[in-house]
Amino acid sequence: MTDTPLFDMVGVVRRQLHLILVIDCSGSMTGEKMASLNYAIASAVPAIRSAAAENPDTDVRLRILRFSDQAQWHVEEAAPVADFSWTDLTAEGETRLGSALTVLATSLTPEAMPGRQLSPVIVLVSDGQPTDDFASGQAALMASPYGAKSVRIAIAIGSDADLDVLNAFVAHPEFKVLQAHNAEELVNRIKWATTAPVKTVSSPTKVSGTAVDQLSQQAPVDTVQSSELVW
Amino acid sequence: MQAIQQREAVAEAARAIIAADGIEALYNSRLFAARLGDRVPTAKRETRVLGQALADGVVSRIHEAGTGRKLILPQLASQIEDAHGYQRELTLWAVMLVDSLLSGETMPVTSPALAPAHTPAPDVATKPVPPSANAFNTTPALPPVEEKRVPPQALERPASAASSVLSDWKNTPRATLIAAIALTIFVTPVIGAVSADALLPFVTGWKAYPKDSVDSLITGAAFALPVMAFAVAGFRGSAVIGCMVVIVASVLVKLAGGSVILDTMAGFFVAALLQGGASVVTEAFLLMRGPSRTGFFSMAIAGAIYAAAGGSFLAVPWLLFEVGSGSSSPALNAYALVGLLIGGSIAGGFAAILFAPLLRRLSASAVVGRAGRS
Repeated sequence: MTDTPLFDMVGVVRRQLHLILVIDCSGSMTGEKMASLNYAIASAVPAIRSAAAENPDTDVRLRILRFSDQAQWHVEEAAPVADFSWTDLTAEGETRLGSALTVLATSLTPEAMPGRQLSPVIVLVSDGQPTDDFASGQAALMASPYGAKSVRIAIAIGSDADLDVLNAFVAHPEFKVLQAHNAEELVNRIKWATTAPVKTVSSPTKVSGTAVDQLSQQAPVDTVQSSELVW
Repeated sequence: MQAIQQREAVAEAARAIIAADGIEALYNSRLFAARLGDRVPTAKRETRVLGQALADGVVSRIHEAGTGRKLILPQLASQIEDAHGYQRELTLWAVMLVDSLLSGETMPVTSPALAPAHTPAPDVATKPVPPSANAFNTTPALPPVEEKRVPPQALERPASAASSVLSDWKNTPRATLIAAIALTIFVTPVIGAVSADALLPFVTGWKAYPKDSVDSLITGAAFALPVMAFAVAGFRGSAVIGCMVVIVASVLVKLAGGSVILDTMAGFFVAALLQGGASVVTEAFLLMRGPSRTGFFSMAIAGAIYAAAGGSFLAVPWLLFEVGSGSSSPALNAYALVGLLIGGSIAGGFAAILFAPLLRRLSASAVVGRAGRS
């Protein structure tokens, strides 16, 4: 794998699109949630490849940051989506989201992401509440060169997730947190969150408004029935 | 995992958090519950109820209850149950856990009041949910548990005097301690002396020499009222601390060439024993009265008992000294003894009524302040 932009067959420089998944691996994710999340991401990879294939001038790359007692890169080097294979995560520890965002901020720099870049897409998946200083992590993220420009999507798993914090992470008045209350919803949300932004951000024929504005209009509405509530 | 194991796991995780971050961790209910949820993910309902108890201000209420805190636990549990619909057994467990976390005592989760064999817990946190409500859960929802009222006596746990003193010292808000000490040093001796001095002639009909009277009463008030000040602050072991303060103070006065006479010094030690006994009697009295009857009146009675013990300390050695020296008649000294006991009791009761609300407010504001900072 390389950090330099790839060249396609006709010599056009492809712009990189970093899709970064920031995943809560705290103890509260133990069991069905983590199993469903592993399944959801693994099953979303082919869909991401398809979305990337629709935009051949975009080099979609995946990075995975996990956080619990500490933030740790699960996939540190941006992997081309074509080569990406998912390795299951396990859950244990507390929800140090602030620490995760601080680590994330250090990777959203021109040095860490050389070459031509599209706005990175950050998908945060969490089921709980931060147990550290979320605000300072968020501030560090927004202060990083690509942090404020990034497209930020949050998926709340279950009813215990702190929607205030996740909405603060998204930081968009219209684009609300996506909620998943069961395994099926989680798969759908992950698929949407990892494919729709790829299409929107990399689309050469963007309509007026930012990518986030467009995504907020496309976002799946939370219409889950009470009978489908699990988490 | 069985319910009892879940609770043991939650209690252990809670103690680990407090060991790491201090008792202040309890004041941020959301964060505390989140951390518990991460550490014991399978105990969702226990974590939720405990978090709700913290959010409802159980910590403050237990602090405010002071020495009678064990008595209000069932009442707190009932309030949480009524407000949120949680099971009584769970809410009782939660408030008992908070109390044990505050006091540093261990909590017998296997007590008859909490044993799951008597009260099987359903697999839902609040109101019963029909089986169809959970598409992924194959376990049918259980019917609500029949409530079992637990008598207050079942919740009482024996605790050693030493551990009570240490835990109360550790957990009493700093502002309350400072206020109690300040009252002890500056305010209560003056109020006690003035009130007792003013009351004595009316009670006994005895006219003392002004100098002796003032000296004695200031000494007596300096002994009796500080103990009571600690008591109304909800500080268990207050008698012990109060005696130590006065003994040390009297020794310092003596070393500095003060006018504290030798038999009065001995009287301090006699009084220490009396105060200890009064403390035990008062604690027992408050415990026997039950949660609905503790309060203002009990506080005044407790203050009177403390003050009576303080008055007797002053009277006994004085009586012995006076009779031994033949300077006055035994009858006169007997009058004085009775007068000091009655006057001291009345003064103590009044002082307790005066100071109790102030110290309660200080205690509550200290708790709120700490919660606001966290």
